[in-house]
Amino acid sequence: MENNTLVVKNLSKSFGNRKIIDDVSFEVNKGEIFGFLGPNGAGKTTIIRMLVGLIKPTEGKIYISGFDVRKDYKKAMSRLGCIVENPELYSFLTGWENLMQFARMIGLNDENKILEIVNLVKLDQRIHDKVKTYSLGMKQRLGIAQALLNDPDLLILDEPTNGLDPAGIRELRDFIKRIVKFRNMSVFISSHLLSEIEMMCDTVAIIHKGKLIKQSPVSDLLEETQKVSVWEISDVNKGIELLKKVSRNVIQISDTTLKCEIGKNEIPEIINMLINNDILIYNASVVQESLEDLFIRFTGEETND
Amino acid sequence: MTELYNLLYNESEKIIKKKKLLVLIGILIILIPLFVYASERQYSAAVKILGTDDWRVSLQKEILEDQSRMQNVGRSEEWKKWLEIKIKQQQYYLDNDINPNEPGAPTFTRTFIENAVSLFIPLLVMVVSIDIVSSERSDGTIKALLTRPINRWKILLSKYLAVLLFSAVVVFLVCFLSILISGIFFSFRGWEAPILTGFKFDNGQLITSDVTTIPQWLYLLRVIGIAWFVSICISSISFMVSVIVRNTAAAMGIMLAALIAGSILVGFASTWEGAKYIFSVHLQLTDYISGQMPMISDVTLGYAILILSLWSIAAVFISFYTFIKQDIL
Repeated sequence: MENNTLVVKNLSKSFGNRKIIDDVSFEVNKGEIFGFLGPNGAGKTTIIRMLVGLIKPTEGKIYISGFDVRKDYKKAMSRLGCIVENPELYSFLTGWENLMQFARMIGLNDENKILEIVNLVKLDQRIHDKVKTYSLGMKQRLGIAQALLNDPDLLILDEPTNGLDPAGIRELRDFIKRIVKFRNMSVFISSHLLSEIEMMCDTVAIIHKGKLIKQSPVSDLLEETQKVSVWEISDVNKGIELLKKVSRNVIQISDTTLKCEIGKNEIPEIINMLINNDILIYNASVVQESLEDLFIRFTGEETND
Repeated sequence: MTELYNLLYNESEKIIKKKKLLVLIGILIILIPLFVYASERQYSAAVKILGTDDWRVSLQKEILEDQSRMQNVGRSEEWKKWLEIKIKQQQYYLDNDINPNEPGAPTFTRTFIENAVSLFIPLLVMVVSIDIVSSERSDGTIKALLTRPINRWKILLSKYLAVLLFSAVVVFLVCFLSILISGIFFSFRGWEAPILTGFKFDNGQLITSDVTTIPQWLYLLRVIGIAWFVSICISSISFMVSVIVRNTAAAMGIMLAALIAGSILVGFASTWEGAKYIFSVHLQLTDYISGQMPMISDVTLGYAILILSLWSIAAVFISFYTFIKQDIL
């Protein structure tokens, strides 16, 4: 328990008779970036709102740095920084006034420390401008700055790349990796984009229709993904016959291309086999099944994204 | 304590930086001169009708008439006493060379607040307090506000205190600007002028046995006190609406409807008893001290204050109860 920044035990939430979240349990270790993956409407935001105390769980417990969010609310919240959905800021105040608002709430009056955080999120040039003049990326960074004011053990970011352009996404990714390294905190990131989680996170939990369907290190998950080889050859019909001898799931993709599941070591064997049967090989490649495909395999459904 | 102070500071900063107070001051600076001009016109029209601009002559005449009426046998003791007070008041005007009809800053401010207490001041107070919670909700900032290591009731308490503070500021601004603007236009005289008060009603009968005169400054203070009390009630009820309704425009609509409904229902209250349980029919509290017949018989000042207080207490209770229990979606 001491090593877990966040522990979620048997969390459930019902609205009326509808069970939105069903018995979800997971843990986030110290210093890890935890990806929380699921299609839109899977219940990610509801779970996040329970984590940060905005919604009362119907059942289950949540501990942040060992403190029960319901019973030890103040202590738990003092270890937490978060942005739920969009960065919530007062657009009629300047960036600095916004930070001072939140600093006052936690009794922080060390302006140097606030300045330090402003520099960390690279907003020093514009911090005294009104927030309504900020770009989305800047608001996002100011949001992170307010979340970092209390030196949290856990930073929760709900869909942080929503609406950011590719450059902004890359910037955010680098930034998160940097702060985790320097501040030794855990980051909990929700997303509906698998590529994002793959690039940023150490551990991933997959949620679907309010249930947790998988939790594992991202590397394990990648290893679990199957290798697929794609063959562009002259005689497809003969090729299918031959490939079926060594591989499962042979699928014809087009007039000249075949796809099959296969291990790396079997490739030279197949090449020899095809050549010996006078089939010409125009192209042969091995691709890794993407997390998208994996997700479809786990849930049996297409995501819309 | 420091925590609560910091929270109140935050709320005040937000209210001020939203520039609503500036808009409010702007409204007052435009409207008060209009009212001042209107009352000046009224005064000069009255002078024209009287045919004489020597108010001393007409006042003297009035005193003489009242004195002859007092000689009249068959009149009750009470009636005579009431005339006696009236004569005393008129004599005071004459002795101190005060034209009772001439508007000055205290007279204008008194009548202005008496007219504004049931709708204009409640509207201004409502505008300041109605979005205190609902705007945080529609902007999404409530999520940032409620994920801090501070209990929810404390956040809400700081918001309620801010609303009370700024409703008092509104009443102050109305009085201050009214005295200032009318004083510049007319004069700053008339603070000591005697004003009749102490009227009572029993079954629709005006009872004048306790009527006395008090100096106008004291009377004005009482009127301001009443306006302040009304603004506390209105801000409490607006506060509740702001907690319950997510949308600021809808919240404002609800309060507006309630206030206007009150001023309409006052007219029906003589036939419909139930109207006296609605807060907004009781806002014209100044009538009780100025001696106007209340619209609803058997309602006294104490009863009206009781109804308003009960509404306010219930509003604050409901606000805290819903806010603390609520899931923030």
